Amino acid sequence: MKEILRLKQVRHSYNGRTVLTMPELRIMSGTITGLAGPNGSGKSTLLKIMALTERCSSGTVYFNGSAVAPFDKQVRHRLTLLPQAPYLLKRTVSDNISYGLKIRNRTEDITAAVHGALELVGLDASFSNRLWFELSGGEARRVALAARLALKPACLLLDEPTAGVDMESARSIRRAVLLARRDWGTTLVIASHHQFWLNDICEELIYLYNGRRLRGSFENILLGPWERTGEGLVRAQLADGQYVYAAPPQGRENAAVIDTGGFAPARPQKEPAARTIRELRGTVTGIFQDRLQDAPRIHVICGDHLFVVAASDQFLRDRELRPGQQVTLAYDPAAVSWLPA
Amino acid sequence: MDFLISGFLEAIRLLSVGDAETFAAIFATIRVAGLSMSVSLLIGIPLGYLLGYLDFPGKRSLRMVVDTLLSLPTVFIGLMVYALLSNRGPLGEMGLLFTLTGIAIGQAILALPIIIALTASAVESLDASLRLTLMTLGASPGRIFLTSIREARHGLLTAAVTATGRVLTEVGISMMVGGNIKWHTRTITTAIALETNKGQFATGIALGLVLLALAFGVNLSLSLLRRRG
Repeated sequence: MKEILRLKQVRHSYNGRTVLTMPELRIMSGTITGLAGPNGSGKSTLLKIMALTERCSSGTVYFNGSAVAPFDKQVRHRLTLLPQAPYLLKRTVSDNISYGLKIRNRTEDITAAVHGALELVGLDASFSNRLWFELSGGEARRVALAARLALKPACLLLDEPTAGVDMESARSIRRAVLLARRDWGTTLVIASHHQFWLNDICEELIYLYNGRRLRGSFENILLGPWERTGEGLVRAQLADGQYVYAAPPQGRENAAVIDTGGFAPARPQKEPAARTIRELRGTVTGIFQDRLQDAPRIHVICGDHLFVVAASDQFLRDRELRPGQQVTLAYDPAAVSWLPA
Repeated sequence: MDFLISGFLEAIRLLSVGDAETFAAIFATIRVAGLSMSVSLLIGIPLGYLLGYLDFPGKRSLRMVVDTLLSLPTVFIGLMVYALLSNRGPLGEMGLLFTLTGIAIGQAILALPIIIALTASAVESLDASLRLTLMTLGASPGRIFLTSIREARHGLLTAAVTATGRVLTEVGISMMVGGNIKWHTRTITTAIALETNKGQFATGIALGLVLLALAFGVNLSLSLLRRRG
């Protein structure tokens, strides 16, 4: 498979504060890559640098093997980004969708291209004559996506494409980007908080935290505040009064993560647990199976925190878990890892 | 009061019969305002765009200077342009003193800060995600400039109308640089000043009505352009 995008030794800073450090990142042509991570983890910055709308403070971005920079014509006509808050020109929907086509001098049969793009995002051709202020938030997002799909880009980067839109718009957006991949081989890079969706469609999932790429699963990030206990541990309190325990960090780290595979079903009470093992009580809210992960995922809410637990089929059968059921999870505080500050 | 009423009636007659002297002043005003506005828009819009669009050290100070120039007294501009264009001035050899071009130079200096400041404000008020969106759609820097200007068109129209109003109604520059020469550099405002001094209220009122009509025409055009989106 050919490499379409590569970042090498990329570092980006705002006002002297480093917000992204990416020693190496490769995106292969025709693949779907997901970007996950909490707010402020650097997902949007990474997308802007990959889309060449922002010049990285240091490092190199390669497109199809060539080092590229913002406004390079051969790239800006093949690569596009749907920002989190896309702007619609104060014109008609048709003008908005055809803007990029006119820049590329692809002026033949613009009407058909506009209608085709609208159809892709689930909007009727009659939308083409509407003005920008006549659209709902979800429709505006779909028109913005249509403006990008009309270009049939080699690489489409999407920043939270379904955030804050109604369910129908979210479904249309998801369907449209997958059609672009299927029909034109468009490479997709998607930053989203919808982890399940990312797990389901992505070939690779990249976790970001504090502007760095992390290896492993990072669904269960705990941000503290942490307090020391008399047992040489630190603990953070959940909304329902329970504590999550961890071995103290080595430095000034404040965010800990429990691997999805780090939970086990609690033993029956007559069997005493090992002294070091701690337990969390919660309610099962869902059991999911996605394409990217081998084991099904159990979502357990403890207080106001959602924990994602990787569970084998055997585990699910033995426990006969179902949504709404109370469950006690066991974990080893020593296995809780700390994310770099 | 009678002299005002009779002056108003005489003004209507002068305009309806196409009084040559009155219309010479009207055409001179339109020509000189057209020239000065063309120059100030051509220079002022790109400069205003850069001032509103770019972030650079000293931007706030520069904005303060431009805002201060908004209240430049017309007689001061007239004095400076007169000094530059007079025989003893550095541009004296060009022979522009007491010409419509000379007046237009002064009026362009008057209009330029208005165009720059209001264009900069219009560009600053554009949505911050406009540039990002245009870049993602493949726009070049030149295309981003043109599209941003189009997106800020209402603000730019306001800038143009405000500057036109100032240029049409100024007296100081036209009087000092143009010299109020009959048939040549006499504009509506200098003619009103002269006719009023002579006690000829009718011509003054006629020209005042034309000024009002011009201002109304400019505002009507703006309103129609806005309605077209």
